[in-house]
Parts: sequence; C-alpha cells; structure tokens
Amino acid sequence: MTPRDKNIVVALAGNPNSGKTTIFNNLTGANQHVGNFPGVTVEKKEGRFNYRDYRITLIDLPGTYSLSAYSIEEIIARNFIIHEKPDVIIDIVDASNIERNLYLTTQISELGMPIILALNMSDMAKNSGLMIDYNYLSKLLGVPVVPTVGNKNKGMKELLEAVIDLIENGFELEPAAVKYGKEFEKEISRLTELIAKDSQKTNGYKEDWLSLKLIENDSEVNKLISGHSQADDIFKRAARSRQRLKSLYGDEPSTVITDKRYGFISGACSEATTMTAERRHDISDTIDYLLIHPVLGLPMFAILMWLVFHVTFSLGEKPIELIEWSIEHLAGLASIYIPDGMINSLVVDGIIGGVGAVIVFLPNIMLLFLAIALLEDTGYMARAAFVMDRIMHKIGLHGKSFIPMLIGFGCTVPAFMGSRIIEDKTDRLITMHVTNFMSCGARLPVYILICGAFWPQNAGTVVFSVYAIGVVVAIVMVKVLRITRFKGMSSPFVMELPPYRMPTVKSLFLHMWERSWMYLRKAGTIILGISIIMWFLMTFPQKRNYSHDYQSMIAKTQAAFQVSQITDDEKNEQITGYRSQMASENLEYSLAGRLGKDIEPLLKPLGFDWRLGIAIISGFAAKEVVVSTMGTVYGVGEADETSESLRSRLANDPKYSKLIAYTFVVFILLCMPCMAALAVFIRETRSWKELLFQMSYTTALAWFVALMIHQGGKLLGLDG
Amino acid sequence: MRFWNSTAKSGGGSKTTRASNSLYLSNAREGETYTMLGLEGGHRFKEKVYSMGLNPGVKFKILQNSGRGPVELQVRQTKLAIGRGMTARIKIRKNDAPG
Repeated sequence: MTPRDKNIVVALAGNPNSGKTTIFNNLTGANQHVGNFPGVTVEKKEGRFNYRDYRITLIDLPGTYSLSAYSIEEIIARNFIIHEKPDVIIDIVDASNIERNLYLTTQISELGMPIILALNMSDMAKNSGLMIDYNYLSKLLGVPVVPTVGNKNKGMKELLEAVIDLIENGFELEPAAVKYGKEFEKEISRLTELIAKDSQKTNGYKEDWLSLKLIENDSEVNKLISGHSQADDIFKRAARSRQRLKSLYGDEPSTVITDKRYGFISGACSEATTMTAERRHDISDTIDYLLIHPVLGLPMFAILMWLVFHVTFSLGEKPIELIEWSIEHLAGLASIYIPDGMINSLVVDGIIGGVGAVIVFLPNIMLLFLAIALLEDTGYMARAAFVMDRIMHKIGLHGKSFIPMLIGFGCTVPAFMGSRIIEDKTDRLITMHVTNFMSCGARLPVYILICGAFWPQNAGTVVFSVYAIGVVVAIVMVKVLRITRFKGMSSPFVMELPPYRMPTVKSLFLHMWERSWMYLRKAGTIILGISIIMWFLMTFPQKRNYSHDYQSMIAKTQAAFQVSQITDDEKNEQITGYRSQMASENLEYSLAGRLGKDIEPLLKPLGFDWRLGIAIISGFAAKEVVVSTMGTVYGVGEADETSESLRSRLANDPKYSKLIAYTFVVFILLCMPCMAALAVFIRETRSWKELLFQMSYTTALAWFVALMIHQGGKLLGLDG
Repeated sequence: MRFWNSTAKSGGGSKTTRASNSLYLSNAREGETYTMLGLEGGHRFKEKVYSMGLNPGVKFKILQNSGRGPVELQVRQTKLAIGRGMTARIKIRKNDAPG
C-alpha cells in the first residue's frame, strides 16, 4: 500500500453531552460536511483528514444513551455500525459520569466491532475525586482506553495513535461481553440455531446479537426476521424464551438484561475506580437553583429569551441595511448593463429581488443560531425546556417546543430549522404545523400598513390583538391535531440537565456557520426557482393595449419639462404616476392578476376583492411583498408600510371597511407560510404529504376564521 | 403485600422495606434520597429511563419537586428532569436516613 491508499472510516459514538462534538471538531477542524442520514432529519456530520499514512473519514453518530430501537437516533447509530462497518468505533465516555456512559458501551461491544474508549473530561472526573485506573479498566472491558479532555484539546494525538495501533496490530483482548447467565445463553443458542438456518436473511447482523434482541422484543429486529424463511418458528421460539425467562426471573427479560448490564458495569467500576471525595455542591447547582427555581425560573427564562430576540433583531439591523444596499446596487448595476426589456426585468425584479428578499434575513439567522448555539452549548436549553414544560404540557406539547415557536415570532424559516431540537417526530411535526401562527416579522409591515390606515389612533392595540389571535389559534390547533392526525400523548418527558459548561468559540461559530450555510444554499436553489416562477406569473402575459397611451403621456410630460412649463419635481411625480398606473394595469392583466380575479368568488364571502386577492397570492413569495404588491395594484408607485398615499387610498376606498381590513390582516396572519419557509419545511420533514397538509390546512383555516370574523361582524353590524 | 407489611417493623430484610416504603416519584420530597424500584409503562419508556442511568436499584436524590412541572433529581453524576405525567409511574423506595 502506498500512503493515502489507506482509507479508514472511524465512527464516534457516545451519550449526548459526553463531549462528542467537541472531539469531532478537534479532530476534523473545518473540514467537515453536515448532511442528513438517508431519509431522516438526523444530522450526519462527516469529516476527513490525514493522519500519518492514513486518510481518515470520521463520522459523528447521533448521541444516544442506548442502542435499542426506541428512537430514530438509536436505530441510525446502530445500523450505521452494522451496515457501514467502520474500521474503528471511538466510544466517547464522560469520565465524570462513567457508569451511566458505559451502559451504551456494553451495547456497542455486543455488535462485535473494534472499539476504543475515550474517557473524556478526565480532568473533571479527577477534580471531583474520581480516580480511574485506565489500564485496569482497559483489561476489564477488553478495549483500549485513552483519557482525553476535549475542550482543552488534550489526548487527541493519543486517540489517533490508538486508532492506528488498533488497525495495524489489533488488541490483545476481545471486548468483554456482559454475562446474562446460563438461562439466557440457553435461549440465545436455541434462537441462534434457528436463525442460522437461513443466513442470507440476517443482513450482516451477528446471529447471537439478533437472538438477544429477539428476547428483548426489539421492533426493528422483529421486522428484519419477518423476512426470514423460518420466521414463524423463530417468533414462536422467541415468545417461549421470553415467557420462560420471565417466569424464572419474575421480571421482563428486557429489564433483566438492563440489570445485568448495569451489574457488569458496577463490577468493573468498583474494581477500576475509587471515589476519594463525596459529591460536593458545585457551581452548576447554584446556577440551577436560580434558573430552574419554581418561582424565579420563569422570569429568568423570559429575560434570557428577550435578550436573544433583542440581540437577534437589533444587532441584525445594520448588516441587513448593508445587504439591502448591496442588493439595490447590484440591481442598479444589472439595470445599466442589461438592456431594458424582459431579461432586465427577470434579472432585476425576479432573481435579484426574489433571492435578495430571502438573503436579507441572513444576519438575523446567523445571530439567532449563534444565540441558540450559546444556549445549547452552555446547557441552558435543557433548563428552558424544564421551566416551560409546566405550561407547554397543558397545551399538549412539551418544554422544548416552546423554543421554535418563540423563534417563529421573528421568522418562520429559522423556527422550522430550530424545531430540530425536539427529538420526538410527532411532537416536532405538531410544533411545525402551528409555528406559522406565531406571527412572523415579515407580516408586521402588512399589519402596520392596514391598521395604520384604518385605526390611526390605536393601531398598536389592533396589531396586538392580531398576534394574540395567532397564539390562541396555535394552542387550539395543537389540541385539534393531537386528537385528529397525531393521536396519543406527547412523548415522555425525560431529559438530562447537563452540567453548565463554557462553550468554545470554535464550536459556537461552527454551529452557526453550518445552519447559515444551509439557509444560503436554499436561497440559491429552490428559492431562486420559485422567485422566477413568481416573476413569470406577475409579468406575463404582457399587456399591449393600455387604457391610456402612457408612453406618449410620459413623452408629453418630458416635453413640457423641456420648455420649463413644469418643475423637475412635478415631472418626476407625473412620470412615476403614469409608470405605476401602467404597472397596475399590467399586474391586473398578468396570470397572477387573473388568478386573483379567478379566486374572487372564493374571497367574496370574506369581503375581499381581486386586488386583495393578488396581494395574498404575492405574499407567497414573501409576506412583506403583500405591501409592495398593494402599492402596485393601487398604482401609487413605490410603497412601503408608512406610505401616506397608499394608506389614504385604502382608508378612503368606499369598498373597504374596518371590518374588511381586520378580516384581511387575520387572513394574512393565518394563511400558509412564505415560499422560503415552505422550502425549509420540506427539507426538515422530507415529506411532501406534510408540506401539502401544512399549505392547505393553514390556508383553509385562514379562510374559515376570516369568514367567521367577516360574517359575524356583519351580523353585529360592524361593517359600517 | 400484607405479609410483608406485617413484618416490616423488624426492618431487616430488603423485601420488607421495599413493600412498606414504596411510593411514586410524584410524591417524593425535596432533599430526600430514594432507591429506584421500577416503573410501570411500555418498553420504550423503560429503556429510555433505565439507559439514562435511573435503573432499578440505583440511589438518587430529589433536587426539586414543587408539585407542579417536572421533577428534578440527581442520579449517579448527572441531573435528570422527569415530566410530571411520568413521575406517577415510577416506583421508588425511601432510603433510611444515613448513619
């Protein structure tokens, strides 16, 4: 073999909070790639680097406490080990909590792969008075043991040396197996015999491991065995084995297995470790006393969340202005170099405008994910879930769901991305299905425009009521979804509260960068595509015969200016007026405009006309676009939410009443999220079915609630 | 149950203590230490709780149980939060006062 030909795959396994990610970052540096494991949204981190003559591919397996088939992370970790057969598995064990961490180790050992134990945070263990005899532990467990301190970058070289040594020379011992006792062994060998009759169907799994899992009644292994030619016999045998063991031990075999594993661990630990000090009240306990205090916990949480929000949106302001400025200048440049016409409009309005509208959020997204990384890496996130669980439980979700929902008030895009912190798939989906009702920041300009026009005196109160409706609808919908589409209880809330830790700057920034890059990539692909489609809908077909001959009117104005009949300002005002009237006629004539008219019968019961219909459709591109579209429809030129002319046009339009205005803002609040959010939604859920559900039910709900408001208001005589 | 109760006063055998002192985590008191006995529920919940270090036989200390919201406890070298609904299914036994 020549150097670099020696490609090896190393997998990192371990408990959550064992410092796995820190070690992964130490070893791979920036050479990492974040993707997903096939078909699921569980993050798969992969990094490549050279060490000595080897090209090492390092895979960060999901952090798990066990390798049972009860969570998607566990199934992924164990299938990866079994099917991808990494050359070495590094099992990261938090030395300061060694017994609990070794529970996973006993299960990895059973898979029969080469293992190295990294006793991480060994300094913390030492400080707390736990002395570990590494050599002895290595002998007892039958695997090489390397002490490491991940956050100080210690022991990394030793770890890699151990990997190379294990590959080149092997290890003198076999990974020690837990002794389940004679009775178990008897049942296992009986089952193994049956399974071995058709070795084609074992799919690379070790037969005695399958037998043990059958006794544990592991759902994934049951599924695998159902394809076996002896499936019936095997299942019958397994049921008998379980029955027999249950009567022998007076307990479920799976519980006995757990007992035996912990028994093995405490045996090994009592021999290889000594505790020289009692556990002391530490700094984490003091912080926890405040942060999860039954009374103080909630206000502390509120303050921290307010800070996150404040930082995200106020620090983001300047960079956003800079990006807006750059986008405008880019559009300006494009207008100069691309001749007037279709291509120009496509590039400037469609591509730069559409993608620009999404990239503008990048500073917010980066800051928000930096804040989330900070909360996660310090250990506070678990406390937030703890504090919020009491309230969220009443609604039918648990503590962790609160975080993405809160982020939703800023922007639905990072909220969907943030819902990853909820492990349970059903809880995650329910959360994502109600996040839309947490009124996002881009909807605010619409409220400001409409409420400012119709309630100039108390717009703030009206806007607040809209936000409140969103929250109420979200709560009601969680309950409705729980009893209809997602039946059953919320998943059991059992969570570790890891010790508070100082996060490393490197890991914070890596974390932030990963998420932000994902967002940017999205803007470059799917959002680019949708922007072009939206532009097409709002541009074609082109109108040729306008109600007035605007071109010659513009020419006339310019001529009048030439001979000084009007001032420069007057000229510009007139031309802008003509242009926007042209744009307005064009929009009405376009596919989007026709669509707006086509859906008018649907919108009539809500009191909306086709112009509001177009505005709603354009909101699909981005919610704040509703405002600029209304500007175009009403032909008032460039419009923003404070635009006086647009406001007075709306307020003075005899077709509109306060009731219609309110119905409209509620509709905008509840109807489906914008395309950027939906693009992220499909990426996170990987389910077109859920996407269609999200789009249709939110919009249907918006229609229904708007109908109730409008018709109810009419009955009460509020449409005056 | 009855039989064990009747002999509980001797306080010697493990079985007697187990029966007389067994209670649910939801009723555990802050600051006291307990021994995990087991839990009522499906395999999924069992494996989750056991694999997080709260397995039958292990001793733990209650850090917070305010009667509402999750219970916080210290087990092995870590802290766990357990949702209120779950605590009514976890059986525990009070440890004798140290010394």
